[in-house]
Amino acid sequence: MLKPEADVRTTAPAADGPAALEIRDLSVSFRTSSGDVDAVRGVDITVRSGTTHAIVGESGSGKSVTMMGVLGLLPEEAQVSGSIRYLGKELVDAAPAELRAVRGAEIGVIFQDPLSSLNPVMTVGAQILESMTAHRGTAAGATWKRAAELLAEVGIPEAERRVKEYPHQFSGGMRQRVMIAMALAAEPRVLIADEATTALDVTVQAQILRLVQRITAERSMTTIWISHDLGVVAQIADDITVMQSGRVVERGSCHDIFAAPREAYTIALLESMPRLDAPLRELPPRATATGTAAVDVRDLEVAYQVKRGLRTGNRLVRAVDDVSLEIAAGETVGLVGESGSGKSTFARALLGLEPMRHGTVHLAGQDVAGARRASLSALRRNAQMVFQDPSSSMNPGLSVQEIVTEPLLINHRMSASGRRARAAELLELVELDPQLARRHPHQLSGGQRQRVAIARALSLEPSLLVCDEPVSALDVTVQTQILGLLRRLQADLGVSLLVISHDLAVIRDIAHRVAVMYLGKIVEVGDREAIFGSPQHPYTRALLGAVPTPDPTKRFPPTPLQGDPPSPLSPPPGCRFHSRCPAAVIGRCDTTVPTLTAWTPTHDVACVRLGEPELTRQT
Amino acid sequence: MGPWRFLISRGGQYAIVLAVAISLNFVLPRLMPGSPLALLAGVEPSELTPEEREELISEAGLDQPMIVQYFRYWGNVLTFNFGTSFRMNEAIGDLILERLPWTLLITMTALLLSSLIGIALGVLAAWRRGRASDVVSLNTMIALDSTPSFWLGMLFVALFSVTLGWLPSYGAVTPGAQLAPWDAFVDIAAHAALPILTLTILSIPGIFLTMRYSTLSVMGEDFIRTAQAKGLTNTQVLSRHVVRNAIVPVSTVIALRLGFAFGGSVVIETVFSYPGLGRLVFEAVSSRDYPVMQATFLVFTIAVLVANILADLLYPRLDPRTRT
Repeated sequence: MLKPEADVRTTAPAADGPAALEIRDLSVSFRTSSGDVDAVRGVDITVRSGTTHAIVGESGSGKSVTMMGVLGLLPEEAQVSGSIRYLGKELVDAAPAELRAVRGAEIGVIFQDPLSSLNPVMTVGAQILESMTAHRGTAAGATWKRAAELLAEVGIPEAERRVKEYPHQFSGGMRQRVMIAMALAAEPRVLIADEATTALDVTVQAQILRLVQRITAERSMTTIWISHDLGVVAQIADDITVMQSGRVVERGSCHDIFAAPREAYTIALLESMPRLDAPLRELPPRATATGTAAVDVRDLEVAYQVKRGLRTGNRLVRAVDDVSLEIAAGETVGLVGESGSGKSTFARALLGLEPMRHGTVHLAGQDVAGARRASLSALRRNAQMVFQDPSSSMNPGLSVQEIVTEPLLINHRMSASGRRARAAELLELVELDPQLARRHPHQLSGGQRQRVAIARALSLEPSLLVCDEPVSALDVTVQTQILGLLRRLQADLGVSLLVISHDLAVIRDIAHRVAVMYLGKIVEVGDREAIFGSPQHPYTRALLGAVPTPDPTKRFPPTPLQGDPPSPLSPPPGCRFHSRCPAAVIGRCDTTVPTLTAWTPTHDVACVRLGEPELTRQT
Repeated sequence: MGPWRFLISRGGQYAIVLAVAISLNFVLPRLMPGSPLALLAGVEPSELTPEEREELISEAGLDQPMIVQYFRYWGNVLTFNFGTSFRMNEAIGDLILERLPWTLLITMTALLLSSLIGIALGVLAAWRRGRASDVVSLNTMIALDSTPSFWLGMLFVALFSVTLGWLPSYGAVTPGAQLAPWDAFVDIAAHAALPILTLTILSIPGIFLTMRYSTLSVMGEDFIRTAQAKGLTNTQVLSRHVVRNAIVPVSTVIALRLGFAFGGSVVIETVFSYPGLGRLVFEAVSSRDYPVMQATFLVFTIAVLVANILADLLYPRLDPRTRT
């Protein structure tokens, strides 16, 4: 079993400790063909020894460039001025050999995406060993045994065996643990975490935060945490530096910044962040129960054949297993769950983009499964999709006008001038200047691109908009604007929304109803007041408990959920969640498959122990 | 999956590809316009008396039902019996076995050399991207890539054989010479030098360009930043992280070239009058020696198949993600 990360440091260290890192008047500019770009402009940051210092900012704030400057890993065309002192030693313009002696040995780093940050063709053990031998040579105990010990220390089960495995054989959370073991291998005194939990599920994020806190406390390390997520920062930081456009906007202790932010930008950041403890936002009214539902899914099963060896034969993976869901006209349903829960597969199945093995899907009363090619494309007109990453889901060679009106070209054969007028209309609808119609996607900001994606999805006046992680790639201030836009469009157009997000606070801000998925099944579904106010399923409670609260006075209770979701290839018998459930009863939960049962008229839960008083106490 | 299990599970697929290739080789001459006699006996039917024609047809088995011909053909293929070249009056199987080693000598040596040089230069150019050495080597390679092989071969003959007199310009050995083992080795090497040099130079650009591009894209990967953040030296980052990953796509290019090396040897062996399979093909084509062409094409097909098997075996060793 995994070691629970219970022993968390809660007291702040001495306020007047010596500085581990002193950055003074640091400026970084990049020479480009179109002139110099100033990424960092005269930044001062002091990181006290033994503390956790958070650097907060949105994209383009210069927070990551600053840290790459500390490591001397900026590209050659970067012009650096000012001073960076590590324990008194100047790092700006230091000789390459001196910088190498600092990297890894004095300052360890963990990056955002552990899969792409690990070498795919080297075993994890070899990569950990390399960190040790780079600074200590092979003599000083740099052995496979030591590598396995480190893996065990960061909570990887069966470390002796797994040290010989490759990164792709680990889950996302386990990979980030490998990164941490690697960063610790040469026993550095400072750990830089650059958005280290951004790519992880909220449950895994909670585990990793706790792990980093335990390990840095045990080793008296200084931690520099670079993040855009104020919730994470509130949970772990002692000091905070807020950056914007290459400058420091505000600095202070974590408690002061959250209790009494002084600068307008900090206040705006804190206000725009969706949070679970804010009052519920008012949503556009949805249609009453009568009338045809926008979406009616019954007993849907989407399964894939997975090729195995010769003898074992093929296996069936049920990505979506016996799911029923209704979305009323003008209603927003939020779909949440960890990665691999089948959320996106479900959404794609609604649009007829996945092979259905079983069940029915009706869009505005029409059967998707029974539809033939021609009428399927007519059905798709009724349901359009908005993707997570607007820059990769648009053809970079087309202009905004061509992108927005391409669905019209395919479906209606409107005249060129008609399409031009419609493009302007659509851009105004998503609050963009119609002048942007001639631009290309790379000339737009991330928020503008997502607005274009929404305009494209709306061009055929669909009755359903499926939004798969629509704001995950955006900064919080932009997130708020896009969520506001979606609510306004729903009020104006009466469109139904299915919003998929790993961020529960986002769902709380936009969805009338919420469905929680785990390993292909809906475990709980109900009105947002019920799901967020009185969640019943232990999994829903664990998910909500893992969301970091942006309030340093309310730090985490013990980790709500251990481990990663099991492989959908071999889901646990009985209730699929029982292997991770704190309230599981062996003999019941591993034998009985729970079905969705009405807890209240607007709240269904699939749990064998639903209603037992002990269930509430144990989760 | 180990290599043996891999071969067993993939063996069926390879066998099917081979069987289809062999069957096509049977069908194609029979689909061509005119009598297959022209293809199978090397004569125009109109030049023969009816009696001669009858005799040839029954000798070649063309009077048998198609299915009998087909199975007889399979029996011949499996016993390496491809009939007789009517130009050289020699068993084709023996002819191929006699020529094959020479082609293997020059093509495999050239492939090995060009792979090593192409990979090394590709990495260096990518590492020094945009600097003078990168720009010069990149442009040289693009120029070489568009150089015709016969032209370069003839240039080398003119330079090294005619003007300088260093190396022989044709053949694989000095005819009629009785040489001691070491002298025989030197003689063979001297004769092979120019074909190998030409083939090597012309194969380098493709491998260089792939390796340079592959190295550049690996250098932009996140794990290279991780390796640098560990405090590794540039040489360590390059050898352990960049090259190990960048070589994966290049290995496919090399394996494909291995398969097509035989076909590529036709022009070079002709220019240098080198007695390999390529020259055999050229001779067979010029004299319309169809049975020889048919047999050598089969050998070329098998070479491509073998190269693919090697690539399939090699790939999981280079990239653990493709192991299942």
